[in-house]
Amino acid sequence: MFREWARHSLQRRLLVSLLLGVGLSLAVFQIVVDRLVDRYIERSFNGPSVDLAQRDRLLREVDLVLLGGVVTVLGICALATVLAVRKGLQPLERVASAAQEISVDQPVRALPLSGVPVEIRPLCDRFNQLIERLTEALEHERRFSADLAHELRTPLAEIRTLGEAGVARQDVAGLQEFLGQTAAAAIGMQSVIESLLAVARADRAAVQQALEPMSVLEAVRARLERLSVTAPEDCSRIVARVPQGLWIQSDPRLFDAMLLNLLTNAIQHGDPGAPIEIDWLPDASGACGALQVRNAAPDLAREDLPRLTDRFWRGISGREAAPSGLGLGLWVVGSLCRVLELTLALDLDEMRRLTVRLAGFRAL
Amino acid sequence: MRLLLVEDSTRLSAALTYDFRREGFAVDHAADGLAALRQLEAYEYDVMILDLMLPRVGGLEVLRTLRASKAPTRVLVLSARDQIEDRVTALNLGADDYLVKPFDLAELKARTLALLRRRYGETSGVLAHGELTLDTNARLATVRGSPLPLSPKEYALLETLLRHRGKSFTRVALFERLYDGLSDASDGVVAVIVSTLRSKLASAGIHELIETRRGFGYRVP
Repeated sequence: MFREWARHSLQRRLLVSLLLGVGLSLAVFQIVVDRLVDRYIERSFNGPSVDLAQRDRLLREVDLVLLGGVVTVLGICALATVLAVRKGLQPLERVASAAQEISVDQPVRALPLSGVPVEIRPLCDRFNQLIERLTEALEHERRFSADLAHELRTPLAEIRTLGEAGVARQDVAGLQEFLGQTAAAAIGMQSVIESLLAVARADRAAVQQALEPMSVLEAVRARLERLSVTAPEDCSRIVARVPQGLWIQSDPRLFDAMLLNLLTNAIQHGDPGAPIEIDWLPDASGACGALQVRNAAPDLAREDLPRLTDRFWRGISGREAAPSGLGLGLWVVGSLCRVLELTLALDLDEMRRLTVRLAGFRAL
Repeated sequence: MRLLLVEDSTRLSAALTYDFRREGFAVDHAADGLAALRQLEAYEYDVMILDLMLPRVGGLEVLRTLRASKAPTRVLVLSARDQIEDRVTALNLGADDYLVKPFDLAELKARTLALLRRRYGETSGVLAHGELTLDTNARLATVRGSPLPLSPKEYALLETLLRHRGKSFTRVALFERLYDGLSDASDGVVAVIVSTLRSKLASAGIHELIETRRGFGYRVP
């Protein structure tokens, strides 16, 4: 019990070693002084009377013993302290060698905590927490790379196979069809890369904090104008209800990226005959507001909601409905929301209408 | 040689279907796992090229169902999943080969032909009958070393008959081996192919290679 109490703290180790050293030295010192005093008494009372020379010699002996005793006590204390510190630092050496063995190529292991003094334990705990977070981040990146590699492999296989098979194709119509398919596959790859770049840019923007006053209505109008060029039929289904003169503090580029992804998601995976509604929902105080996009999503089930913002998640029905979907749109929106400190909420009502709400925009 | 291509990428399946058909394969395409299972119930395929990440029913489930049915179809898994555990799982479930996307088309064809040879217990890529030789890798017929120009369907029919020497094939059985499920042709086209094939063989000096057995069909004795 006592040993356990002492070995888990450097302070306790030092205290115990000092007490032991001083106690041991005092005991030895006590024995030596006792013997000298005994000799003096014996000579004083049993022998002939003491002469001055004898007395001086005896006093020198006592001085010598006292000096030797002090030196001995100090020596023993120093030795005990060195041994105690060395013993106490052994777990730290184990921790240091464990930390030295940490490598990027190998799975990271937590530092061993057995026998670590309580004074150093918080440092080790923090270090282990850091390792845990790093391991999670590495695993996250590994999964991301694997997902990305997987997503890029299919369009890459399409492009390569269309090219290899097309080389032998003689008919011009068939060759043109293959070329068109190759371009479509390349566009698919481009979409994956652009989505990832949008998130990377958002991360950079988060560091730079590029917030500025912007008009929500103008931003929505600008996006719809651009969409009317690339997808005029789908654009005619979009109904926007945003109040005029509404100004918020946000990043216009990221706002547009979020809106584009929300609308693309609604167009690709929603009911092609149903309207897509954009609404601005002010909160009670008027200081904040939410942007909401709602569309009919007949293929979606409530249990799909938690996975909608997962990277590369298309869902079975979504895949059938829109094989060109990448499963990145809502993940991008979720990532941008984190950057802009917005809250993303998803809901599917009884009429199977998906509502995506971005809350936390600050009005000017 | 009938091949089932199970792939949800329309672009990839279009390119593969075109190329394998050009080589004389009868290629059926299934865009999801459920369609693949229906095709496997309806026809017996020599080889199936199978993607793993499929809508409705996953590729591994298709593989499991096929192996449970004891069908002799050889399976080549063609997937973007490149992890060792994916390969091990597919091979343990009964896949005969595994190729990761993107791939070399020539390699895919070579592996498919190798599976076809294994399907019929052949060790080399050569089928010979007298002075006639078929190189099943090059998809080339030669008579006394000289190439015999055949259309893909003629070649496929000759390969089928030589591969199963002595066995008679009805017109319907040959049609099912030469044409995919979406073909508009009728089994009468087999008689036409046999006729043109016989003419080409005769002009190369090979007479009466293909027998017609009334009520049983065609065979190479």
